[in-house]
Amino acid sequence: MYVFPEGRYTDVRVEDVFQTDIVIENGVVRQNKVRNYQGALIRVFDGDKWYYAATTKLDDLQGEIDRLAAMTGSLPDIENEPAVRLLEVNRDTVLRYAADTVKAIGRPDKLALLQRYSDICAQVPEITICKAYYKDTYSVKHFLSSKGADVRFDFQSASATVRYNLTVADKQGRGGKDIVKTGFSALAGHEDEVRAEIEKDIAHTRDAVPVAPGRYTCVLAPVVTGVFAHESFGHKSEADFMIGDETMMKAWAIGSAVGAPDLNILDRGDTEGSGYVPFDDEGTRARCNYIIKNGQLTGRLHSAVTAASLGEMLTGNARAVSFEYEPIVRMTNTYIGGGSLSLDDLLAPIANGIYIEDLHHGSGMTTFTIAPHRAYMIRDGKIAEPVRISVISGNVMETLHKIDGFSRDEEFFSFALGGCGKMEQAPLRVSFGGPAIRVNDINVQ
Amino acid sequence: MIKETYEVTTQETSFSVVQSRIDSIRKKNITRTGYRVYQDGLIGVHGQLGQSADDPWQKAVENLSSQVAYPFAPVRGIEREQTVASDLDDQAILPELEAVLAEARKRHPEFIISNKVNITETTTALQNDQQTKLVHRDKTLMVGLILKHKDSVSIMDTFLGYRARHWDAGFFLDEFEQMTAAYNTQVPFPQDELLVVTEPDLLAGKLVTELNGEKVGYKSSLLNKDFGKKVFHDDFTFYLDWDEKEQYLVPFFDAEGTIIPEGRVDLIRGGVIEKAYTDRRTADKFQMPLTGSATCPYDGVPTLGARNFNMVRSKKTVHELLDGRLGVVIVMASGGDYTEDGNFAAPVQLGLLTDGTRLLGRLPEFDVSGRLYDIFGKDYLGYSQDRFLAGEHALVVKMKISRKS
Repeated sequence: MYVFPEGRYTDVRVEDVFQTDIVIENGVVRQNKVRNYQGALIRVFDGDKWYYAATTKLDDLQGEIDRLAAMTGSLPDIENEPAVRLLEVNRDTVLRYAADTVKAIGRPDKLALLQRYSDICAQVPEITICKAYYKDTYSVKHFLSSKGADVRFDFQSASATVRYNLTVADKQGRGGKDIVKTGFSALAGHEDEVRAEIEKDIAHTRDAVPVAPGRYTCVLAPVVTGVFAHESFGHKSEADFMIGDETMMKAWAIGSAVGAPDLNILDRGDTEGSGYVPFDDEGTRARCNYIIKNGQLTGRLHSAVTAASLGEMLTGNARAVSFEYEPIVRMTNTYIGGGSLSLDDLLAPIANGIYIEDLHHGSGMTTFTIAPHRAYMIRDGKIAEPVRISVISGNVMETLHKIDGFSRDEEFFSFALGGCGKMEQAPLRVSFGGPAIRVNDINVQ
Repeated sequence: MIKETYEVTTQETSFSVVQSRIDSIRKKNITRTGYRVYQDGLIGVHGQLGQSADDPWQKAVENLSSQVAYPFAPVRGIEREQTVASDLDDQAILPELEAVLAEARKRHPEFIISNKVNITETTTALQNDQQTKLVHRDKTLMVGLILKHKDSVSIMDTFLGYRARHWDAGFFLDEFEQMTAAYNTQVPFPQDELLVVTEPDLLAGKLVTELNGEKVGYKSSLLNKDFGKKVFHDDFTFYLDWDEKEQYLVPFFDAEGTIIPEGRVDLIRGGVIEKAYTDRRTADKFQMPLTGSATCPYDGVPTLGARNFNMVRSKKTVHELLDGRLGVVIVMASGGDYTEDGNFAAPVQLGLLTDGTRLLGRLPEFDVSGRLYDIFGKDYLGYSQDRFLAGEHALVVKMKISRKS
């Protein structure tokens, strides 16, 4: 199909993207559009540097390859360069959603669905601003490499989301509900969930009091656990932070005890969710990667370059946020494994703690943070009064050892309007989840 | 029917740095065009990114059937083109960058440098058949480099970040030297009170949220009860700013073509909350002054949004604002936030002690907190005259600093 230059490794990733975006604001349609485009990223590697070109001129991809090649040197034995040698040569087509795409659903149907959720908000006097968002994506990626890889795969997501501002007894609050599925039909019928969320937010806005800052035992609801896993350890497991760094390699040696004995953290792109990537953006097939198993470090997430540099195996985690960017090491579907307790069991031994039910955002470096949305005191083993918290934080290296309880029920989540940010690439679609967990000695402000 | 295009072209050269060396180079040249048609109070938009066999105007006309109301006439009869002065050369910078990285490796081999240096040129153009042609070009260097100490187990220990329209190897190395020297010097917490020295976004984001015209108009803002009142410090003025010396990649017109002739709109003046920021829809609906704050993706209907906020600078430098006291420069405070009622808190991963003339050393991790009305009220000291923080002005305020045990 393309003439790849000698003495270099080359790959081409073409993306064909369909998206719908509808916004209803306080009952009035503000956006209603379809976006359909194609773009490509070309990579050429000469054994020393990588050269990338992002383009929408698909009729000139050969020209782009040639122009990039002209910038490079060459390495006669490029096939044996460690990263190139590691790259998989898959030939496959995985079109999981092609028979039931959101492209086939008319915009009037999508608008009508969103209107139903918007109308729920319109009936609530405490809601001063309501924005309802319908978004869908159907994309097909075609990856070809000079090693002979040729894979084509698709992804689909559809979501209906409400975001609202509240005024309750002169107090300001906000909230929302994300319904994220892999197909349009599954978005219907969640009205009661939206109503329940609004009721909780009204009560929290009305009754929450400022928290007394301090260190608490916290119980994290599954959605918070998921973000905690992503932020507290997921980013730490991305191996591009580690290459050429002996200190990091010693501190994060495979087999090290890095968490509580029952702690399991997994990342896998081969299951449905926003992080579904049957192949990553280097053509590597997705697999199940245990990052932590029974409290011990068992793996990390890789691109071909990082895997070659660290002498480890590919994991299928080289991902780009769009055709405009090169793949870097990213998470996919990341979650903490469940345990055997009920939520009541987790709460029972806590005399004075905090239950964090939902969150606004999180961040993760050595110190992880989570900005809670709805949080409640735990008093004598029971969920008690709502509290307002700016941020909770902890040291990753210490906090993973301070988890001492996991519920048996696991839940998985995707955010409809955001995703993961790393460097210049955001938001990347990922999913996350796990059970409710109990974590001791968390800094609460 | 009125026809209009809104086009954004991005040309970018991006250098990836891995293990203190340039590892890759990415080239991008992408044009996104929004085709807008206006008819009978409705707007139809069709976006084009890349090649398409479709007639974009026909598609835009078809999208009128989406019934998106836009009862405003597009701007007419304005032609203006502006290219912000920049001498950045994508080709020439590669050897320069390799040279400063080599020098950085030589001076401080204990640091591993990674991430990105980008040169981005954006051309934004709004044209319609009402004799309007607005074009803005800006080309900017964005340095965003992570510095990690070789003995550290953190993902990142500190950061070298700045923007410019001129490549200055000396500035790069000076900033690198100051940052690494300060990081390498561990200092204990002084006994005396410390003032906070920071870039403004860390603390002013809540003002941006609460001064949103829609939020104010629907009486949903924390600040609603205080409009027209002096609730912040006499010296605190917060405004929308189109001064190219202070803003990067901000066109002189917004996504609706609105131009503010004065190049500035005060939202909070002398501590008094005066205005919310608005696009045409918000200004019309709530009878507020129009502030030229419409934004949109290339293929969207214009909506309310802005990023060109600024604060009036004090006549004092950071050193003068500190007035003999010590300050802490907040370099990394990831994850902090305000509660709905305006209480801010954040863990500070890296704070550097300063006397206002230089960085004295690295403090242990701590937490910082404060109340919105106090931070920009009784605890506000000023926004520095000098460009103390990597070429940018610095906000100096009092906040509660809690040392970690």
